[in-house]
Amino acid sequence: MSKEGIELKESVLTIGPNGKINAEVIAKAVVVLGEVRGNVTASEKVDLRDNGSVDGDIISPRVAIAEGAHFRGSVDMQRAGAKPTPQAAVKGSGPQPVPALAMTGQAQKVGT
Amino acid sequence: MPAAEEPVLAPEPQHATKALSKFLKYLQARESPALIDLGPVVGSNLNFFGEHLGCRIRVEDLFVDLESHAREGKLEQLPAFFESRFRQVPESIDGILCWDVFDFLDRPAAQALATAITRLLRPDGALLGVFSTGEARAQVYTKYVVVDEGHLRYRPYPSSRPRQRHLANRDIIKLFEGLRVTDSFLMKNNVREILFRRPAYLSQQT
Repeated sequence: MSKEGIELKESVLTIGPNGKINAEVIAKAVVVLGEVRGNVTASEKVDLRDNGSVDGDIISPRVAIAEGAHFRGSVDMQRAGAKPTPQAAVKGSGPQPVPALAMTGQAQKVGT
Repeated sequence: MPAAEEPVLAPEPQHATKALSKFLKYLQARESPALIDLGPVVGSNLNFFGEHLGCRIRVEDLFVDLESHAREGKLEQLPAFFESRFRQVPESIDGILCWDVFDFLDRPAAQALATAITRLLRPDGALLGVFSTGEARAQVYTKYVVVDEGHLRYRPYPSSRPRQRHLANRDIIKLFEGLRVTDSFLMKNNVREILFRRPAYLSQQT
């Protein structure tokens, strides 16, 4: 079963404390207070807050991970000026995939 | 996490490190080095290695695995678990930070882990380990927070697994049979920092 993605290249995506995402995430910036199982790509910053959880790879020039956060995966902070490369879809079993979204707007919140 | 009452944890002391700067020197000689951290995620470490050195870092946090095996009474399964734990291509990793994970493993699990991670190292790759030399009183794990290349802050957190009997030097060397010890430092706080390198002539690839 392939994993779909959430793509918000011009927006800041916040996954709230009750949010659970099982998808690839691509945004300008990503703030995680809930749970993400999938790769996270941001052109500006990924901010994993206390009690937030990411199981997947992070690609972003800036990454902040709070003391109480859970993270397992790789981090590629890239050289300054390089653009992030969206991750290919990952096949695997698991919960139902989230359909790809193409939302406009400055900030989007999930699971608040 | 253990069900017993929370231990009183000491504040974070800062300690000198001598092996870290040498480990960093090997990484800096490589273009976009690939690094594995076997310890828990430390945000500032990711910035240190990622932003300042341009490393691609993979956090594996074996202490989570150790805790779950300890709580479920499955410690005897650790050797088999470690044999298949890592998905990286052999000889694809430039540096491995073991910190003190080997202090918490019995001999079979330690050997299985050492063999598994040795396989991942590129020829000339480096591995840094921290090994205790005496009995530890508090039952805690430690997050090693990089202050700078000469200093680490030790940040303890609760564990349900005590440190195992500390390894003698010859036992440590024997664990990492495919590697050679390039530096070994006995620090004032009685931990031994050891830096291993994988000899270039011991490539497994044909």
